[in-house]
Amino acid sequence: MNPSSSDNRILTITVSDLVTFKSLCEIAKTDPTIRCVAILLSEESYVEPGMASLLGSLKIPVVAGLSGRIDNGILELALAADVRVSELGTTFAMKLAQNGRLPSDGGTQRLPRIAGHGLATDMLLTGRRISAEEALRAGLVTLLVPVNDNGQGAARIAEEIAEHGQAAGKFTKEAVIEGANMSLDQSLHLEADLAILLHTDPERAEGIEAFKENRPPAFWSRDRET
Amino acid sequence: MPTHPFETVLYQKCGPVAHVVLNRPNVINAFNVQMRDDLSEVLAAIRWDSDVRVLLLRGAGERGFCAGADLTEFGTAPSQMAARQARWERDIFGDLRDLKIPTVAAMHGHVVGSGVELALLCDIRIAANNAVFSMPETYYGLIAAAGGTQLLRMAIGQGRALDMLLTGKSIGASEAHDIGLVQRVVLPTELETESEKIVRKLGSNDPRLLAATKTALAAARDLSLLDGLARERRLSIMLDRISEAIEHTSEHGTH
Repeated sequence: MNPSSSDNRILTITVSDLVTFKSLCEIAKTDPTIRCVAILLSEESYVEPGMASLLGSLKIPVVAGLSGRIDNGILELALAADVRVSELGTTFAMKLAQNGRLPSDGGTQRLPRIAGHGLATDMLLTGRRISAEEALRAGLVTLLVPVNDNGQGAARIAEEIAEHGQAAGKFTKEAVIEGANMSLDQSLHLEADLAILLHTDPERAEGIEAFKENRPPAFWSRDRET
Repeated sequence: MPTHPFETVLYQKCGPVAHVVLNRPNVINAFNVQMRDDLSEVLAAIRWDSDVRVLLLRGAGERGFCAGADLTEFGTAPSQMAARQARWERDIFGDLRDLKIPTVAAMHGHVVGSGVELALLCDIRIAANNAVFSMPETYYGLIAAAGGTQLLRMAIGQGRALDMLLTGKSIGASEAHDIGLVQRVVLPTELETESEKIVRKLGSNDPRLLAATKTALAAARDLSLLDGLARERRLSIMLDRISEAIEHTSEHGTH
């Protein structure tokens, strides 16, 4: 449960209790050097209602690395991330209804939005367990990595995201997720306003300068200088 | 076959088909201010031209459809307020989306950033199997700003859209087809003939029916199911009445 990994732009979360989870989310919200969260989930992860809502409230991108049985509350937590990677052999199920309970941390809302209405209905009503391959086809995860990957796939994606503009990542996440609650016209205005607000971002200026000078942008090294 | 000269866009009418070609092949048709202005004029001409029944959008040159926004022109807006005003004064993305005629994007090679967005604003996307799609905006500290954050989510789903937008990863034509980013994939040598086939078919259909279908599909996206079903019924009744009126007129015309 070490909140700081070797790369301090990325906050890696493994979940074993509520207090630690809450304090890590607080760090992700308040530490301006953190650019991406990687959360590693398996059937051993600790979960209780409200944790997915908390994870979903983070403004910076969140990558989830998944392995084992990703069921019920753990699946709800995974759905509150932005990019999901799973090991081959990972399976997914939403069996709460089979136990007489309704998912209460976004399961009925995020699953259809991410995996499509048809598959979500099937999973929620029948409790059917799906494979990593089916999850990939449905867009529930976007990358499969080998067994015993131990979160390396998620770490690689988090590193990629951490290399990119920080405000750009946050605004992209906001436009995609908040835009889904609006009419297309409203969401296009949100996107355009965020794009223009981004004109005030020094990283955007650096990105354009880097493009013109035909070199990679140096967002991260600038962090280090300061 | 009237042609109009534009600096960055080729526009040619062949019967009912408006051929629009992004034409800056030296920079893989990077989207710049001049192209925005040229497309603005072309799209206005198409909108008011009742002979045009279908639009085909392509990119000139071997290397690709469109390399995205021309970043060499970025950072020159005098102020945020001026940038915001300019965005909506010449809203070619809205103009393309709002056309009543069917629009088809035929893509090859590099399809990047604004290039993907232009294609997403079209109704049907066909790709050569050498097409590679990516949204690299955040790499440069930018965000997609021509509808990409919304249209990509609608086309391929929230998880995949966030993955593409946040990581900037590239996607080949076959994967693009699997995830619904494009509807058809063909050999590069067949892109022209296949897209011609599609637009010829669309051009021969009743334009009122195609426009009504587009309106109904927009309702499926924007309205509740109940309101969408009502819209569909109204559109269907309206089309029936138009057909009846045409039959009536022609019967009376012949007697």
